[in-house]
Amino acid sequence: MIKLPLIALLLFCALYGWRQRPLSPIVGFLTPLTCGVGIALVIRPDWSSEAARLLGVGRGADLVLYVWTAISILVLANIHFRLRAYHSMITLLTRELAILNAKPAEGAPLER
Amino acid sequence: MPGFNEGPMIGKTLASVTPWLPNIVVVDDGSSDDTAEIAARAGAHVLRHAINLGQGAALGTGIRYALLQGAELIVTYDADGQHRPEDIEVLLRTQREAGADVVLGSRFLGGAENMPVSRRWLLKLAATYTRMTTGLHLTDAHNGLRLFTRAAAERMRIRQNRMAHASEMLEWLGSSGLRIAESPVRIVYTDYSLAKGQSFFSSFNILWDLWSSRLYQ
Repeated sequence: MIKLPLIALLLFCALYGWRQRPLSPIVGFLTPLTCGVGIALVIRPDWSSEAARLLGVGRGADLVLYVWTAISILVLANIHFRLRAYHSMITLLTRELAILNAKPAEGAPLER
Repeated sequence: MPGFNEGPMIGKTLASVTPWLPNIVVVDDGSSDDTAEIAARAGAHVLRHAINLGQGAALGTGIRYALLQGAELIVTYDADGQHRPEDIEVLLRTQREAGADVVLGSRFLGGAENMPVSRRWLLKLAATYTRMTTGLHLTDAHNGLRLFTRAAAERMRIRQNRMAHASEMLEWLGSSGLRIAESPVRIVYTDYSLAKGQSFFSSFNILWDLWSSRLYQ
């Protein structure tokens, strides 16, 4: 029964990642892909052992852990990029404030 | 002229460039000292960032302000006193003779006094990186003394707030189709400018800023 909530959670993550494409195309592409792998492993746990054997990872549980780590890194990357985007907005605001409050040199007319 | 806590030097720097430039814009990038007050007393237009954003952001603010004031030629100049004001005239002459949209100062064409060997190698590496990534055959990739025509400055967008702006600018110039020229300038490294300058490890931050910025809009 745990499968349904897990699949719902991963679907939500995939949708969230997909919606990040305007901010970061790479996050928008890789997050749904990684979540898709996660959903496949939830539906067919036996695939994890088979895939782990093929990839030389060892146990299937290790592969699931690696996929989860990959999802976590992508989410962190997205947060990082979002912060950078906010920082850009702060820069624009600070710049406009600085220009609005500029102190022109004495005798120099301010042209706006 | 971007400045962050340049109180000990900016007055002297402004006094030296005033005879060479009709208008000087100082962007105080959130200093906690009296940089802005000294600059205002020296007769510069003074803009203040409420918070410290970085040299790239300060240059962007100064260039935008200069464009709003109707500037036809814009020279960027470091506040730490390492440039020679007479090199401004050299930049202007190069711009006129080459008909260039952008003139970049080069310490490797002019000269550098007291430049540490590590800095020399780092700058050579940066020039090689620039050649590989932009196709621009420049001798000096990170010189703060530059000249932009109004047309070039209007097209330029600086996204990098910190020191990566110099590389970002060159990447943009490489694909802009603008006419670019290099001009010999001299840099005088002092204890003050070396203390304010970038460390070797800053280059890793610059690369990270440049590469990571390609992963988001």
